[in-house]
Amino acid sequence: MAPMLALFLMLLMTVLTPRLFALGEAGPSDSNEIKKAWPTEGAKGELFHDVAGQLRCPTCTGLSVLESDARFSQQIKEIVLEQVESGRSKDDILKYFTQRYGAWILRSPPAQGFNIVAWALPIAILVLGPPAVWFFVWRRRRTVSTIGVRPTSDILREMDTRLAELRR
Amino acid sequence: MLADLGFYLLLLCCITSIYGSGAAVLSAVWRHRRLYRSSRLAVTSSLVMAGTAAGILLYSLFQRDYSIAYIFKNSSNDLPQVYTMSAFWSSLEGSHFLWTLLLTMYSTIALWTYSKDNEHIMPYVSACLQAVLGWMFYLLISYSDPFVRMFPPQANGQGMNALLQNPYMAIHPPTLFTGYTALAIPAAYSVAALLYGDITEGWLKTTRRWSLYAWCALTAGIILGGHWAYAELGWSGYWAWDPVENSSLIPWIFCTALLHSMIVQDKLGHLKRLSLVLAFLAFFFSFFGTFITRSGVISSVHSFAESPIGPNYLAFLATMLLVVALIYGFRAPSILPPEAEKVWGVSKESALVITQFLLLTLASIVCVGTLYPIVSEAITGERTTVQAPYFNTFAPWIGLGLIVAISVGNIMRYQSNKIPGGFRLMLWSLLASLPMAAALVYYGDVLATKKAYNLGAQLVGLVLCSWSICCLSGDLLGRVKDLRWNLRLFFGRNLAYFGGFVAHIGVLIAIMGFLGNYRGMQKIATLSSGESVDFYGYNLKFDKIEVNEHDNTTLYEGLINVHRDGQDLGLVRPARSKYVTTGNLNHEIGLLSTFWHDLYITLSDFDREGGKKATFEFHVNPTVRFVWIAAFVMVFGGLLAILDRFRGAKSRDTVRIDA
Repeated sequence: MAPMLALFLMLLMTVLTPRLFALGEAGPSDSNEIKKAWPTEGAKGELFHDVAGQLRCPTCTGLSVLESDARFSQQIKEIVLEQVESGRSKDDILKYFTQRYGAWILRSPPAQGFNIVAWALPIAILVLGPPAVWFFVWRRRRTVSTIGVRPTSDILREMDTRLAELRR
Repeated sequence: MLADLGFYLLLLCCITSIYGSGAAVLSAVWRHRRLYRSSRLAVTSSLVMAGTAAGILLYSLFQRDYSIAYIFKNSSNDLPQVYTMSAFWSSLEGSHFLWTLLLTMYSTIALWTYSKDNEHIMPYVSACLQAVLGWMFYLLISYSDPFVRMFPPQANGQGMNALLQNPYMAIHPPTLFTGYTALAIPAAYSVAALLYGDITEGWLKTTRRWSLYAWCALTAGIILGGHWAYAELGWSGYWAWDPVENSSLIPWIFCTALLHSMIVQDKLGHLKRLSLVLAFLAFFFSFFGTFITRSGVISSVHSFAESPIGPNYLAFLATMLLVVALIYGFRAPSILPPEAEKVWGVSKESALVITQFLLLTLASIVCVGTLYPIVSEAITGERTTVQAPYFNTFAPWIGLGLIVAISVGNIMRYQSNKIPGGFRLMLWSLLASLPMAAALVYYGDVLATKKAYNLGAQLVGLVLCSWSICCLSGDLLGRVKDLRWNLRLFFGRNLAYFGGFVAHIGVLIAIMGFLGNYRGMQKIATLSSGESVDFYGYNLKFDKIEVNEHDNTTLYEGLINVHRDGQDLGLVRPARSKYVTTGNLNHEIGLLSTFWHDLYITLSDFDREGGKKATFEFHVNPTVRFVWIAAFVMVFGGLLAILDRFRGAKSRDTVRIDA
C-alpha cells in the first residue's frame, strides 16, 4: 500500500509542478511562491549572516551559502534561519552542520587533528621567518668557493691587461 | 580539411621546438654560432606555423565549422561576433593553445631582441624556452588537441558557457596569459645564467623589462578577472580566494618579489641568487596554477586521474622543478656576490629584504591554503574546505606589514642607517595624513560600520594608507627639490623611481579599496509592483518585470526606480538572462556606481506568472571603484618604469638618485 501511495504522490507532484523540474539548478521558481527574503538586520540577522557566511556552498567554488543562490545553498540557509529563530547559538548550529556533512561544510578547517597543520604553517612562517632571515642572510659571513669561477668583469680586466702587454 | 592542416602545423611546431631546443644545447656546448642561429629560426618558424594554426581555428570559428569538436562545444550559430572570437580561449584546449601561441611569440621576440651583452647566454635561453614549447606543443597534439574532428558534423553548436559571455572574459584571459608567458623570459634567463655560470652584463636590463611587462599584464589581468566576477557572478564581490584566483595571484606575488630583489641586485650586486630563484618560481607557479585548476585535482584528489592531462602536467612540472633544482644546486656557487663585505644593518636593502619576506609569506599562505584540501584528502582521507575566512585571517596582517614596509622602506637610503630628515618627514606626513584620513572616513561613511573590530581595522588601515601616501609624496618632493625642481632632469633620469612611486600609490589605493569590504551592507526584500524599500539612504521602488529579447538571450529585467534625497537617479535593471542554447538563468546585475560606493542589485527571484512580485538583494559595496582605479595606476606605474633607459647594467655609473 505504502509504495503505491508514494508513487501516486510523486505522480501528483510531477503533474502539479511540471516546470519546476525542468528549470534545474538555481532557477527562480515558477509557482507564485518566491524565494524567501533573509533577515539582514537586528541580532538575528547578524547571527544568520555570521553562520551562513561560515558554511560553504556545496555546489560552487569559493562561495559561502550566503553568497550563493544554488538550490542546495537555499536549503541550508532555510535550516540556518530556522535554527537561528529557535534561538540556537552559532556554535550549536555549526556543530549541527559538521555532524551532518563533516568538517567539509565549514569554509575554514577547524583547528583540530591534522587540520592544525593548515593553521600552524602560516603562523610558523610568520614567527620563525624573521629570525631565519636574520640568521641566514644578515649575519652570515660570505664563504664562497671561488675555485674555477671568476666574474666576467675580472676576465675582461685580465684580457685588457694582457692585450695591453701585447701591444706594448 | 583545414582542421587537419592546423593539426599538422602544430605537429610540425612540436618537431621544430624539440629540434630548436636540442640545437641550442649543442650550439652552447660546441660554441657553434650557426647552430644557435638555426635554433632561433626554429622558434621563428614555430611562431609562423602556430600563428597560421591559430588563424585556421579562428577562421573555422567564424565559419561555424562544427566538424571541429572544440567549436561544436564552445560556440553556436547565435553567438555574437566578439564572443565567437573569444570562444577561441573559452575552454581548456583553446586556452592552452592561446597560451602556447603567446609563449612562442614572446620567445621569438626575446631571441631576436637580445642585447649584445647577453650574447653568451642566448643559446641557453633558447634551449630553455623551446624545451617548454616542445612540451606544450606535444600536449596540443595529444591530450589537448583543439582540432579534434567530430562526425557527423552538427548544424548548430552547444553554445558558449553563458558566464563567459561578458566583455571582460574576452580580454581577461589573453591579458593574464600575456603575463604568465612573459614570465617565461626572466625564468629562461635565470636558468641560462646558471648554466653559463655568471650573470652577464645585460642580464638585469633585459630581465627587468620583461618582468615589469609581465607584472603589468598580470596586474591588469587579475583585476580584469575580479571585475568579471563582480559584474557577472552576482555575489557582489570581486575576490573569493578560490583556487583559480589564487593560482593567478601567486605568480603575481613572486613577480613583485622579483622586481624588488632586482633593485638590490642593481644597486648593490646582492641578492643575485634570490632573483634567479624568484624568476624561476614565478614562471613555475604560473604553470603550477594551471595544473591544479585544470587537471581537476582541486575538486578532489580522485578526479585527478580521470583526465590524462593531469598526470602529464604533473610529470612535466616535476621534471622541470627537478632539472632546475639540480642546475641550481650545481651551478649556484658560480654566481658570485660582489667583492665588498656587506653589512646589512638598518638600510633600504634591509627594508627590501623584509618586503621580500612579507611577500613570500603571503605567497606561501595562499599556496598552503589552496593546496591544503588536496594534501589533507591524500593523507587523512577526510575532505576539507579552505575558503575566504582562512585567507582573511592572515591577509590583513601581511597587508599591514606591507603598508609599513612601503612607507618606511621607500624613504630609507641604501647602505645608510640615516634617513635625511626622516623623522621630520614621517611626522609631517602623519599630520598631513590625519585630515586626509578624516575625509576618507567622512565621505566613505566609515563610521556606519556596525562591528567594533571592523571599524577599528578600517580606521587603522585608512590612517596608515594616508600616512604612507604622504610619506611617499614627501620623499618624491624631497628628491625633486634636491634636483632644484628641474623636472626635466628628474623625469629624464628617475623614471624608474617615479614609476615605482606611482605603482606604490596604486597599491595603497587598492588597499583602501579592499578596506571597504569591512563595511559592506546588504538587504534582501521581496517587493510587489509599486512597493518600495529604504536602504542606506536610497529609496528603491520596484516597478515591474520586463521581458526583453537580446541576441541570444531572453532578459527578465526587474525595473527599479532609485531615488536618493528626493532626487531621481533613474532606472536600474537587475536581470536574469536565459540563454537560448542552455536554458540556464544567469545573473545580470544592476549597478549604480558612485565614487564612494556601488549600489549593487541582483534579482534573486521573481514571479513568472504576472511579473508583479520579485525578491531583490541590495548591496552597498564601498570603495569598489578604488580597486579599479588602483589597477590603472599600478599598470601605469609599471609602464613608466619600463621606459626608464638608465636601469640595469648602465645604472650604476649613470644614475645617482641616492646622493
